[in-house]
Amino acid sequence: MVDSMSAANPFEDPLRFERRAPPCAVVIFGANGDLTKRKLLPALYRLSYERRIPQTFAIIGNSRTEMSDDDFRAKMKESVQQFLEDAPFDESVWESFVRGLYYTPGDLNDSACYQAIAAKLADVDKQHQTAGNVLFYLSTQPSYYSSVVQQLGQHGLNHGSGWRRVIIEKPFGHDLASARQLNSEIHTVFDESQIYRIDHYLGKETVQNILAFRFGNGIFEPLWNRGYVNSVQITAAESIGVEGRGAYYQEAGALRDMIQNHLMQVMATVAMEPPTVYDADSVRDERAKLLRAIRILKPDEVPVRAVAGQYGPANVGGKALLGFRQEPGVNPVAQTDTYAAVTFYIDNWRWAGVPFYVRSGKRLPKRITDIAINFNAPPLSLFRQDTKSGLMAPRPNLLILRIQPEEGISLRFLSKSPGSGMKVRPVSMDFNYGSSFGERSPTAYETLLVDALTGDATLYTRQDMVEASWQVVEPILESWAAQKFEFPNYDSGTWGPRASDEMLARNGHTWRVP
Amino acid sequence: MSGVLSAQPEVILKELGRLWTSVGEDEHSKGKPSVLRACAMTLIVATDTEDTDAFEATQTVISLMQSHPSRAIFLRRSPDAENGISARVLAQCWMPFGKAQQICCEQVEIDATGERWIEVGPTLRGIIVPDLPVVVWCRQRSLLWGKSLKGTPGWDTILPLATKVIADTADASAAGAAPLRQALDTISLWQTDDRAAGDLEWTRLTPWREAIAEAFDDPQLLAQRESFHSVEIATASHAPSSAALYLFGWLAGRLNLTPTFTAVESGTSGLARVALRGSGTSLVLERNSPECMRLTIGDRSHSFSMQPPSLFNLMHEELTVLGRDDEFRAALARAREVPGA
Repeated sequence: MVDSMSAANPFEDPLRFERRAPPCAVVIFGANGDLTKRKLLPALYRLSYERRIPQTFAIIGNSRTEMSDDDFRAKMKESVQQFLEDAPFDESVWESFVRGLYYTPGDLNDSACYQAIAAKLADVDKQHQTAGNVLFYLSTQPSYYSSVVQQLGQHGLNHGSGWRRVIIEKPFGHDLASARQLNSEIHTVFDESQIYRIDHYLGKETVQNILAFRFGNGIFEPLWNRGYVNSVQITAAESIGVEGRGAYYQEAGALRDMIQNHLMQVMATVAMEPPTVYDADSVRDERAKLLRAIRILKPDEVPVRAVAGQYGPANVGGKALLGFRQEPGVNPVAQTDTYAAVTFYIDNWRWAGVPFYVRSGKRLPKRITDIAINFNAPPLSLFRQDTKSGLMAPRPNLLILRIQPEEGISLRFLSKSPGSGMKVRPVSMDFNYGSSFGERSPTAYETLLVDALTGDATLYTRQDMVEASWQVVEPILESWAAQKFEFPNYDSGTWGPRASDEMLARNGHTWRVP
Repeated sequence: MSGVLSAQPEVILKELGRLWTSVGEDEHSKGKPSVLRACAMTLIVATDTEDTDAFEATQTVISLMQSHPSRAIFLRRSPDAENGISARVLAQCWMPFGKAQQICCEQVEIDATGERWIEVGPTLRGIIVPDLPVVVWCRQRSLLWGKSLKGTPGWDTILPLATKVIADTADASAAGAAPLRQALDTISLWQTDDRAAGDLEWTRLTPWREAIAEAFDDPQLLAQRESFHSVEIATASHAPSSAALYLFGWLAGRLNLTPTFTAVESGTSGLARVALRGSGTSLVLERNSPECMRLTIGDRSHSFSMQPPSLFNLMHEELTVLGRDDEFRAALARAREVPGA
């Protein structure tokens, strides 16, 4: 069951060659779903375009819908053409790619479905020389994860002549107990080294760049602690609403959907200790340690340190926008948090006493994800702060790590205004990822798929990380479930409920406007 | 673009400053955000009147700016240089798709006659971008091989500025074994602990090497590596080209075998085939046509597209490898050991 590493290829030249996937077959469960159409197939096609997946490669799609191989291929071609990001579609590459694309319909609860997949795998192994390597991708509804894995085990598909791995999409459970239950069920079939829990945020170039920025430079890390950092703000704002996902979203909410997974992983990346080496286990050990160090809120702390919000209707830019409760499929009295903000504290030597403000919401003024590191003010203010005379109040240094959409890093510092007298004003020094590296960046799914195919789990979440983050948010979820909120409490197109501003004001802080 | 300037560093730098102010004011007057200046290296392109593809090289460097923003300095050795040595500066700007702010890079052109060429080094010392890598793309054939190799004053002041020097030995290959030997020796001399060298002929091999490496991703073939007993490199010319010599060096190092060369009739120039043969297995990679390759392992074979890389692709790859490239160093060292090369 253990995922063994293959012997090193002596012909490799990592300086010059792009990292390639080895021969293998990918089985996608839920191949008729949105994720496959919008992300997975375009990513796999793009990898093929860049010759990062070999000729000895095949994809088997599965879903309940009856379709022939050709029907599936036609459908996927349409999706790839529609959803390919920043890259051309090349007919000749598609022709070669599609030769390895197959479809096996079947009900996930039906044993015959897995027999058919096993037969197809044997067939493609012969035809495409996939070396017995298989990656299973669970892109189904989360309620199927456990049963699919059990069926894979019962049909002996969890082991073979090559390696076997499984990618599982989020959410990994809906609370701590269900996450533990799911993990233990999956572990009866797959070893932890074979399990790749995907959090696509970690695959984003700029999230990976946080590690390069912190640990590749000598000048920032000495400042990266409670002695110099006053507070940290992590924002993931969306301007859109639930966009037809109301039924799903009202069961999830912003805290579960964004903070428990994506933003806590981002926070762990920002705050973790340096790993001793850059390998999957060392990096994940440090992330896990950080997540375990986050202070768990007591029930009486939740109202002070966490804020739930829900958007109401509004007119934005001449367009009437529905409130969450008016969205199709949503309960008109839903208590769902479409906005969540939490003040976290990390109880370790580096971060003790530094608040980490994390917020995420829908229907905010714009789509942006960034991290703002607020540094302490200088111990003595030498320059005039007389705001009445038109001078701006000096503001402490601020480092912004922008994740999307304008990926980059900015440092705000004070500079003397031109002219006589010592008048200072803030200026910004910008590094723009797009202009400094004009090349197309791989999408998160391209990065993560190649990682899983090459056996690199650095950017995947581990069981202990998932459980640690559930442990942190669970008291908040429980407290909110026991309350009745007076929703809606913020208008679409605003930066969230007033209570969120008040939460920071109690610490003498304000949310920055990204 | 500026008018003709004196090639003194302070004059060039002042003109660059004026250029940025003027570009910024121009955008500001249109109510647009100021331009974003991008620079990750100094890229010096040394050409002369024998460089018949100088225009293509200029266009390549301008295209490369989007992925490798640089202060590009074109040095042209020309008998027609105004006042014996002169300069011009200009900005290369582009608007990234979907963005509102232009990105600009700097371009400096310096023309010098043979007699004044010696003054180019001191000018460069004053105008290279501090604290960033300096790449010299050497397109002057006379600096690489030929009778005048030792007779190019000024090069010894330019070379020490470089973090990396890139050349192309394709012409030397075409000129014969002696010029090729001279070119390989020159590149070898350029390499120091602090300075890397590159050869676009080695870069042209990347798709070949990558296809071979990809074949060895198959664990069965990898396990049979020790059983290979012969390697044949077939070229369309009778004398091995630098690409063939580099491939020799690379494969000899990987397989601990001494490859042999053969000349074949081929519709295309350059490398035609590489064949690894062993007891019970073989790997043959061959060019079917200028755009198509065939890989045969045992009795399995498949064809795939492999367009000859453009000058842009070659330079793009070289500019991503600015540090020490041990694979190239080893291949170059072995290539120079080939008798008769």
